[in-house]
Amino acid sequence: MSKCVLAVILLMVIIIPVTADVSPATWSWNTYQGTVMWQVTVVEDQTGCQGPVLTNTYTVPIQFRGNSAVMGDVGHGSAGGTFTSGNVLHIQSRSVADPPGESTLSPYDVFFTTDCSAFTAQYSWDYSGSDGSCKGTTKLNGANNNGCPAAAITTVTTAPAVATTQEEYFVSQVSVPRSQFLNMLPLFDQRDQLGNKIGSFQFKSDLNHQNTGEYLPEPPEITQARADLKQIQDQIAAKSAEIEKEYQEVLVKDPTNIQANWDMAQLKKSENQMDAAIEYAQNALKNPDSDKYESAIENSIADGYNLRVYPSPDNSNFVATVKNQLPVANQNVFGTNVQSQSTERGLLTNLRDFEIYASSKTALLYDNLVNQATYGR
Amino acid sequence: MRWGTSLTLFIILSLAALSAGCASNNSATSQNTPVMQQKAAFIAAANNCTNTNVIITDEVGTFHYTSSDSCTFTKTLVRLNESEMQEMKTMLQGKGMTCNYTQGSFDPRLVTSLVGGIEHCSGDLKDDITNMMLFT
Repeated sequence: MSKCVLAVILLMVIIIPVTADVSPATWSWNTYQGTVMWQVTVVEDQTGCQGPVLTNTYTVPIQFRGNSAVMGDVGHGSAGGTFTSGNVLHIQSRSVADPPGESTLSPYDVFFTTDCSAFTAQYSWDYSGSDGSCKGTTKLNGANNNGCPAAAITTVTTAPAVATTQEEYFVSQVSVPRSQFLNMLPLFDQRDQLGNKIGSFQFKSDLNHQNTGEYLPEPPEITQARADLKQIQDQIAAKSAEIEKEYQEVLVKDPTNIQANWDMAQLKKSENQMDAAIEYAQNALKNPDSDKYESAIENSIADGYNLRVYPSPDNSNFVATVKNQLPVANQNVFGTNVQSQSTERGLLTNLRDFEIYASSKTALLYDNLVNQATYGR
Repeated sequence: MRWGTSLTLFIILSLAALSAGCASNNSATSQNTPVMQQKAAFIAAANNCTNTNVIITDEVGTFHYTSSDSCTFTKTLVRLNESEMQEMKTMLQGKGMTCNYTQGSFDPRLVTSLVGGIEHCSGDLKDDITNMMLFT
């Protein structure tokens, strides 16, 4: 008997610690501070609005701030919430611009798995605008293949105005508006394609008027293109306003933040506000650490173009040819005459001058770049 | 005597042949002239808004140029030179742009350069050239 008892005790001594050692570790997102990128599948049911069920996948950052978090744009703008438990983030109801009207989103919970690999959420929305009102739902399924962050920061502190290192601030403070910026790029593509289509017809019509005194009759597809363009421009204006507000919050704390200034320059350029765009670009150059980030920006740009190395006149005949011809074109490529100040052109100096050159450019600098950029992967 | 004469004649003829070969190879523009002529001919046709198209290879790569009777010009980058890095080829090859102009006002820089005159054009090639300015 005593031997049996002893055996049982010995087994418990052996088994229980082993069991404890192999039990899966669990994670609580409300103890973490940092930004994690997620692949989010968004299923938007618009059938209540006589529309389709749309499925899209976005790369979205979630900025964890201990007991709160901010999720990047998944279609209705970024959303902040508070954790009601270790892995349940509650997001309050809110209204967002949804041109030509507005949508009111229901409150909802985001449920994270304890192994950090996924989350799910669902909310309903009520749309109302000049074109009517209707309801729909949006489901979110997020995936993260990078596992849980290395360690939870159990001591939660408020986010400092400037992060411990510039690199951390560089990533965390602009990741949310940057993801919104990236997700907006398809709208810019559509806007440019429609603009080119309309512009091409308009040119021919004007030419016909010049030759014959009469304008060409406008075909239905051009009329439709004008309507589509207006709608897209309204969407861009609404989303840009939100993004710019978030970047401004960064710039209040760090006026020469390179990424925020750079992205603001792009947004202003897309709105044809060139003076403002140039000012933002020049602010980026005022950052005392701008040189330090040059290689990071170069890598980001090269990455965005799927290039192994940053192309330069030294390693690319095409780039060398562009450089050689630029002074010949009198820097008047886009209708603005700018004298080249120096033959030694750093990347950020190029950025400033590029803003001047591209005064009438309709596509953004980051057309291809930002879809692949570091923050958007 | 005949051997000496023959040898002398042979040497003279050889030198003449060698000189002719060297002269043709040393012509500084013997390879460029056809390209320049091709470009000049196309520019003239485009200026008259003539339907024409031509493929020209220059120091950058191979381009396909077209002009039409509606005074519309297109430029497509068919192929970059072999020495260009593969990613640049992948990014740029096949891209094109379209430019409208009025008869008699065709900008020759659209053919003779990458950058000149593209402010009145639209298309992927124009956008990529613009982006390349960052890298200069």
